[in-house]
Amino acid sequence: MTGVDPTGKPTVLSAAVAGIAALGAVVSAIGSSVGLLAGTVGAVVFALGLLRGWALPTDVGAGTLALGVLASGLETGAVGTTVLGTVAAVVAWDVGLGAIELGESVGRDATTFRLEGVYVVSSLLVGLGTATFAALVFAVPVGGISTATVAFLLLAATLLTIGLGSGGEVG
Amino acid sequence: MTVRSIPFVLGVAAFATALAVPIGIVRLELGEPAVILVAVLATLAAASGILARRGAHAETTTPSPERRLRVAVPGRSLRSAVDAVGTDDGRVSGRRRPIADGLRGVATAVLTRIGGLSPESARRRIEDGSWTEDGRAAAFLSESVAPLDRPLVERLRGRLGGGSYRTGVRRTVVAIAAAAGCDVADRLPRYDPEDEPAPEVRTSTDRVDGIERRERRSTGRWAGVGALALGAVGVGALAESAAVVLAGAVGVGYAGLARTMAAPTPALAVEREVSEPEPEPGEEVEVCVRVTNEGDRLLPELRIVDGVPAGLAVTDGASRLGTALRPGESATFAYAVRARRGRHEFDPALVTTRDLHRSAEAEFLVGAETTVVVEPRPSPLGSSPPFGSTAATLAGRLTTDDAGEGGQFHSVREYRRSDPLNRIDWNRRAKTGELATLEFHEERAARVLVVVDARESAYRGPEPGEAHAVDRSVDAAGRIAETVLESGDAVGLAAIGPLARPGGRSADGVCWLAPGSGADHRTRLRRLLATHPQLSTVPPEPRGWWLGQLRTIDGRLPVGSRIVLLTPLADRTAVTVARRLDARGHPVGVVSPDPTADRTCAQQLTRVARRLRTRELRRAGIPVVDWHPAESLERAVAGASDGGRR
Repeated sequence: MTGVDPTGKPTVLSAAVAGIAALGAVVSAIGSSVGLLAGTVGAVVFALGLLRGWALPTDVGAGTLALGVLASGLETGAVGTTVLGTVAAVVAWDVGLGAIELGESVGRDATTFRLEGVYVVSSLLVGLGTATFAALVFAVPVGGISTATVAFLLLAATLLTIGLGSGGEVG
Repeated sequence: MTVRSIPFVLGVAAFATALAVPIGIVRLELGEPAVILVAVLATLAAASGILARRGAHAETTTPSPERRLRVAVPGRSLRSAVDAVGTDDGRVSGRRRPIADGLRGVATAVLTRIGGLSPESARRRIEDGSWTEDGRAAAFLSESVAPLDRPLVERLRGRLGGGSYRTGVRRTVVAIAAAAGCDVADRLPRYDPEDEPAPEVRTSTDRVDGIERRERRSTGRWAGVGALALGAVGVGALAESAAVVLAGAVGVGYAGLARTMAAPTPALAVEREVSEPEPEPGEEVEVCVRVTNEGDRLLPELRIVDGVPAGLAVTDGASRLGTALRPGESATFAYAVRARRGRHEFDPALVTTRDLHRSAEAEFLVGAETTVVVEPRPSPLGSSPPFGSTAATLAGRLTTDDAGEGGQFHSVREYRRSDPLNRIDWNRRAKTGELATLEFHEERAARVLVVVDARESAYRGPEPGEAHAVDRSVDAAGRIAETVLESGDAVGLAAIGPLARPGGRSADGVCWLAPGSGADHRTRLRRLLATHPQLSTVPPEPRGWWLGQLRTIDGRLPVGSRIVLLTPLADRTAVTVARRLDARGHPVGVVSPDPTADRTCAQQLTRVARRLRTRELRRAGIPVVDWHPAESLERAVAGASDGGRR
């Protein structure tokens, strides 16, 4: 006997939550046929990646799913559904990837319940918090968005993501 | 301010301006080209973000300490296997077709040293192909033999697929093995070497006291989301869709949070308890690990891989944990390991922490000293000890030339007052009336030294995860020593090989126990076999210090002692060791656990090379017990004393 192998498969709780969130994201894209198609294809690829513990299909699937939600938003213009759909897609990807990484490094046999709870709650909180903040900001201009606002928002978004997105080296 | 802080500050300024415009604090009029320019900028940033995400996933691999260490199977590559025989033989030369020439050298060695042919007739038989019944193998080694027996279809297929050469090598290897007297399977061995994925089974070979940081890295996890978000904001702005811009803003929020967090440095205490620190071999030992967050910060993600010793395998439960710990909180996990011979020290636990947002992670090693000592109680052999029936008996009593007590007649001398009645020559008394005393050859206990070859090259086995030759040698050493002790003789122990293992404690000196007997001696011997670092189940670094150790053994060993050398005969040095010991006046017998396999050509050739070494020793008058893994030691010993059937 050479030893019990850690299974390497994604942990169950996170994978289940990720699946439900992906389903929610697909539902949010229901208003547009193109969005729904892209969302469904993305969700299927995502689910496949999640079941097998493959990170790349999970990434690609979740990305396609998010694009489906955005395409639906572009067509319908429904702010609430699109934002919630995007949060669902990001939560699905974040928690799903967490399940894969946890499965690889700790395994399905180990106790991981609590950590997975942290994954789900933190991911949801960040998404909903940001969505609320953004909704509040955009609620201010009543007469629509001016070109200058869009330009500066884009610039801000670009710079902030460059400045923020590479994090982790501090502390 | 770091370089990365500049875009951050500029970004905050741009965000403030964007908010100020619609409120009316700032009046700015920009045309659509400006929006497009920024959208292009966003797309570029998105692309670079995706590039940064790539590969971030593959960087981390976790060790698998729950597995037992794996040793190599002898014969990793065909070239090295051919060269190994070549080095032994010293006649493999001519490198026009290295493998074919090498195989010809091996075939010559087999025909001369095992088949008993002269070098000239061996060469002639290879040249005319009469050395084997396999025409294909004969044609492979000789250009003068035509491969006529091959069907045309096969020849064509061979030429198209390049399989002809490989099949030739495979058939030749099998023919050589058959000529060497090895058991040959029906299936041809594989040409390609076996894939041997060797997982890292240790968390670290360093000894760690407290907590030591090993690595800190960014997971790069959110870069892709940031890129997608930027794209969404760009597209949304161009299409004037508030829904899409807002959805993009959510993504920016996720990606942005990544910067604000860092993987915490934990203040952790790891305590490990084992249910039985000195278990019997084969017993299951429960290991319970308790991890406590002794710091004052929340640890939102903590992944722990316990440092199970390389020589032990987890049989039940998981030696890992993933959790979150509040300050002062503890978590426990338990698993079971199967006890095996040796002194097993746990490696430090590998702890990975991440921030709440999983954007950065850090690896730490946390030391917690725990040792499990497993001391087998070897049973004596059911049969007589090895070499017991040969002329140079290794065990049993030694008959000396001195007159005294014993069973074999020596001489008659004059009666002395204290002589016992049963040694008086009563026949002479009856005939002549004189008192005389019979003298016998005095018998002394035999002295046997068991020497274990524990050099790196001996750590080989036919299956990577199974017991290797050193484990089997130590097991056999224990049993042989018990058998010798039971027969009332003196037994000692020595080892050849490096004194330390990576990350393990170093031995104070070479493994040495002078031949002796008695209960204390037996205890010391068992202890040494189980725990001396030289006999560890974990392989050492490949180093060759054996010559000095051999001299030490020779210097310490009493004259007239006999040696049982346990070696897998995995290399040429093993033969040299046996012959040197023998040449210094200590009769040597070799017990050789067979570490070879025959699944690939290289493995098959390694088996042939070992057979040649066995033959060389036997020709030099050194008896060899060839011990196959599927065979009991008793059977192997009996087989060897039946006239050396191997």
